[in-house]
Amino acid sequence: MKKRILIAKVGLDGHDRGAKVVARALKDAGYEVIYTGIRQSPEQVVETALQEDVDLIGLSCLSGAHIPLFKRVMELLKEYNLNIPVFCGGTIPPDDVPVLKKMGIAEVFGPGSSLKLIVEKVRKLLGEGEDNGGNT
Amino acid sequence: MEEILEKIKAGNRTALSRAITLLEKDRDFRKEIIKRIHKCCGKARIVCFTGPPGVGKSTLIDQIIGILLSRGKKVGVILVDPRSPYTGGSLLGDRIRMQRHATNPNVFIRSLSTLGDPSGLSRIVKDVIKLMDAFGMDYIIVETVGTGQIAVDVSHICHTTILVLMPNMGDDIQMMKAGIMEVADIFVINKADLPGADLTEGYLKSTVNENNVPVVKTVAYNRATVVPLVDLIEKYVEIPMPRKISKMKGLLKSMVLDYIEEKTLEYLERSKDIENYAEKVANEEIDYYTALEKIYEKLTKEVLCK
Ligand SMILES: Nc1nc2c(ncn2[C@@H]2O[C@H](COP(=O)(O)OP(=O)(O)O)[C@@H](O)[C@H]2O)c(=O)[nH]1
Ligand SMILES: [Mg+2]
Repeated sequence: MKKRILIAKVGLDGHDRGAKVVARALKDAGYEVIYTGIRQSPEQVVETALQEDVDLIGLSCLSGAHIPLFKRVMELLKEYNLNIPVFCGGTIPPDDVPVLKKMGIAEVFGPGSSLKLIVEKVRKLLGEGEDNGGNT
Repeated sequence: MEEILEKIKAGNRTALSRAITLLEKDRDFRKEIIKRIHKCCGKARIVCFTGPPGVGKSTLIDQIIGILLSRGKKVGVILVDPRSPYTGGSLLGDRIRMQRHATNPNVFIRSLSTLGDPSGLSRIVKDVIKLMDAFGMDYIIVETVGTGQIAVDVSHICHTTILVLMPNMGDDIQMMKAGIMEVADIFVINKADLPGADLTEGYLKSTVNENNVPVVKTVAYNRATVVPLVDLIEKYVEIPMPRKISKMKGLLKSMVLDYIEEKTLEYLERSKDIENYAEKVANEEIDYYTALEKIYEKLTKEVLCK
């Protein structure tokens, strides 16, 4: 079975180039990627994660409003009793990284993170070896 | 098993979701749970949307979910993408069009790819339908891409099969496999806001529509144009007997083939016949037709005659 990853863009701003690029890279790395598009509320993200039974959630956010949104996602996951690791990326100022990590977000990818790095870290988050190719 | 089943019947969404994953993963679980829920199924109406990519199936389903919800129905949706390759990953994006329903407690949407068990895709869809049925859905909507065998297989397990097309598809319609044209209960010409819809309608009615299958024109964004389609779907309560029988013929045939394949694969794994005979053929001890006959002989004795 392939591992399933949800990629969602939270926040109200419009474009999702970054999220799409990451989604495609993870697909190419052998994962089953469920892509929800833009303007997702934390509720939509967590409900989708539940319905799709994903192994990992990747959140993207470009507006300054990411902290409360990510926080809400983490709260809802707890409420729903879902034990799914979360990573995030986007225009996240370095100062916010420790805050996000403290919330329980496993990895934070700032602007300019290479796709190779993201895929590598995702493999680790899913508890897979280096050359596993997403197959288990 | 008993516990997860009770939870599903009680409407626990996490249990439903986990069970679908287990269905895909675990053949024994699949058989066991389907045998157990068989009796509590049969309430849901199953509607399949198929057709070429880009004609607007997902957008149409989004609108239909909205209309069914306003009529007090609970709706399960299964999004199947058989285009994903057997190896490598897949990107499942049909949900994008329906995310406004993601948080509605009366909707449950699940995306499936062919990864894991490509040959048994329609078998898995059939079993996911059963789980959603046991969960208490009034409607179960299946979206599948394409007009090939998978679409035909899926149509056998649905009450209503809807082939979605769009204007200016004359040549494409002609190229479509006869199979899918025959199993369609309703033709939809979506994107009727684009020029050429009437032409396509005329073409459909004159060339392929010997069975008087209804043709409905829709604009997926426009609720009012979709309401008549939903009315039609709701009206299809009783499938005429000859049609039911022909669906069952198709279903049983593919189930028998599936079953034999499964048993055969089990046997081949167990017996190592392939490995053994491959060596003999490679060594030029025997030719491959002889090897085939020998394997088949053992197989029929041990599997099919048991
Ligand atoms: N003009 C027009 N465009 C539509 C209509 N329905 C869907 N679309 C667009 O067609 C494209 C494909 O739609 P989608 O639902 O993803 O198609 P699918 O691949 O068949 O599921 C999208 O850009 C939709 O916005 C319609 O009724 N009219
Ligand atoms: Mg679609």
